[in-house]
Amino acid sequence: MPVSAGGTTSGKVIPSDSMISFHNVIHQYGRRPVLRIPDLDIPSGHHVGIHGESGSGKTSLLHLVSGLLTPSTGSVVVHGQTVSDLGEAARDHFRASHIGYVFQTFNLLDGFSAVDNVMLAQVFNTGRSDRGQAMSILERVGLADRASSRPSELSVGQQQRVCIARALVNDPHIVLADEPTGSLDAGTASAIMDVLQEVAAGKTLLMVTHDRSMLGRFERTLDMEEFRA
Amino acid sequence: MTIVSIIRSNMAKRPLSTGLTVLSVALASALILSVNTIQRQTDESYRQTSAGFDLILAAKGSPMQTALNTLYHLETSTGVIPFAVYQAALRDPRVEAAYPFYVGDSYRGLRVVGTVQRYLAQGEPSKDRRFELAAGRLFEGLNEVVLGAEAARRTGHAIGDTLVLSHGLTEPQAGAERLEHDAHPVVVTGVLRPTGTAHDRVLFTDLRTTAGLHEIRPHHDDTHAHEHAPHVPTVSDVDAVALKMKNPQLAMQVAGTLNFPTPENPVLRMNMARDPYFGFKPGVMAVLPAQQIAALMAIVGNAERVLRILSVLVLVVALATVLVALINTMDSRRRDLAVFRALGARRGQLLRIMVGEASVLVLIGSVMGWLACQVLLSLLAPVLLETAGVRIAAFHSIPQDLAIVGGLAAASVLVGLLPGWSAYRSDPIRHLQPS
Repeated sequence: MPVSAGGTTSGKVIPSDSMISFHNVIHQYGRRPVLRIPDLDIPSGHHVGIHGESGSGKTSLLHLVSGLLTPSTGSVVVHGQTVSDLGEAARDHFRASHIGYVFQTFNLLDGFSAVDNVMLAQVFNTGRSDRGQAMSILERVGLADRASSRPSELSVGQQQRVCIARALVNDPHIVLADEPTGSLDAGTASAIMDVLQEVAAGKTLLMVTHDRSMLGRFERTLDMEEFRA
Repeated sequence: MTIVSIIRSNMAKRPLSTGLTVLSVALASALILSVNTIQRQTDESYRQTSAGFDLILAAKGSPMQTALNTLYHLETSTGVIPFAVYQAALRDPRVEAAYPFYVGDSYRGLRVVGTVQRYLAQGEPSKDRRFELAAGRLFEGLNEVVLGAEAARRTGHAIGDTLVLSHGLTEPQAGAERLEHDAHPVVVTGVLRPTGTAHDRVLFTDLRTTAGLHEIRPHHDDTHAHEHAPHVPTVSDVDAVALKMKNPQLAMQVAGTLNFPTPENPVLRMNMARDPYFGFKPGVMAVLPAQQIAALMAIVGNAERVLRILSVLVLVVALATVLVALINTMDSRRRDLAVFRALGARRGQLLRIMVGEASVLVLIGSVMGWLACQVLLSLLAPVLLETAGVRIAAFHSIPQDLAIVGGLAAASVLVGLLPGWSAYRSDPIRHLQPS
């Protein structure tokens, strides 16, 4: 169900600048509730750091935003769209056009070059790829000269840059990053964060991290303890 | 970057599995395409060759042997029959055309068939098709031969060449002496165009020439010179007489006279005795070529059926190999598939990737199999022509082959559905977790 910014869903008033809004969300695995988010609004363009213990539901929160998971009860509104009410195909389409994912383990495909990995996201969004656009985003993350390299030929830092480029190539409104610096050394992690925050400037960024030193970089932080069911 | 690129990358990632799967499909499709092509072309070749005659009169014996000998230049004749049978056929108002045949000699393993010039001028080697000269002219006088296309190719002889024919139909065994008709060399006067039948590997000559080769004449010594009047050999026997009836049903009448027992009823007996062939009844049989070809096809068809069932089974195994290859790789693919989903891939796209991969594997295998089939047919063609008198050709039945390859591609869609469904049902959340 589309909800205009400043509108309502399930009786909740959505702030006009809200990009992501949770209302009375309970998410459970089997019969066990793991997340309870009565009310959460994340304004457009905010960079939000999410922290909490393992198993506290950080990654699940990201998946609820992307529509890979749907809440057991309640609603999740993203970019004016009640994602939790959409059918699976519509959620997939929504994710392809509005969400960029950055993973801890990069999840790049070995058989493809860096630029091909970036173009994969375009194919699943529009069915077509645009090499020029992919090269442009690789240039923004400082990897234009390694566009033809396979992931195995790149350092872990470079692989994560490719992953960031892939997340940004469709110009999504929201970037979801699941511990993107989790497998990097401190120096590389800091550089990757610089890149991520630079290319995601103006976009809504939700980033899960265990590294509390990173939290200072965000306009807002969420402690998952608040949402433990 | 397209879905096809993803499929190509998946295949390139597992070269051994991809290669072996493609190979198994290629072998299976080569087998089924070869069996199908050989069966179709053999059937066509046998049926077309028999189309020119309604009846063959020959010495009593095996009707199949007679059909093979007369139509396909295989086997030996069942014996000889009087030349008078041919003469009776020429007078028979029911007969549209009659051609005598005598086979007893060969040249470098190729049969020499004695007949009448009219056979090459008017006879039909296959349905609605006449002999055509590629070069030269038909034989007219004695000791002249016309070469079938394959015979000319194999011997390398051309118009004007002189040949010495050998007695007998096969090459003598090692150590055995070859009996040459060197007293009667023959001259090549013409070469026929290919007919696509067993006639292509035959040398045709006048019946009187073959009779002359075997005629025993008392001769004087050569110490004195004098002139003989040109001697024309007398034809007394032939191996077979092939008849084209004015109405094909009349062939049954003649067959009835020659093959059925003489009725004891005097009226019926007298009626049968009016048939011009009745006098030859004790030593002559009538063979209906269409019946013999049908019987031959039934025998060959049984073997082909078994082979076809086997090749279909091999194909099913090959398709199962594709299925197993895809299923076996599902575990290693699940993370990739989960990433695709996180990037926005619809379940339907994952299904398309898996089905597409199965189709590409089968399509590449089928095309390779088709090419292998054409190579196999090219290699088998001379052997089949030599041993069975059947001419088969590679790159001949492309539409039928395409239909089979298309059928295989369709089957591959079914094969891809199972792993495709598994990909479709795969839970991305589970496989996106760092291992």
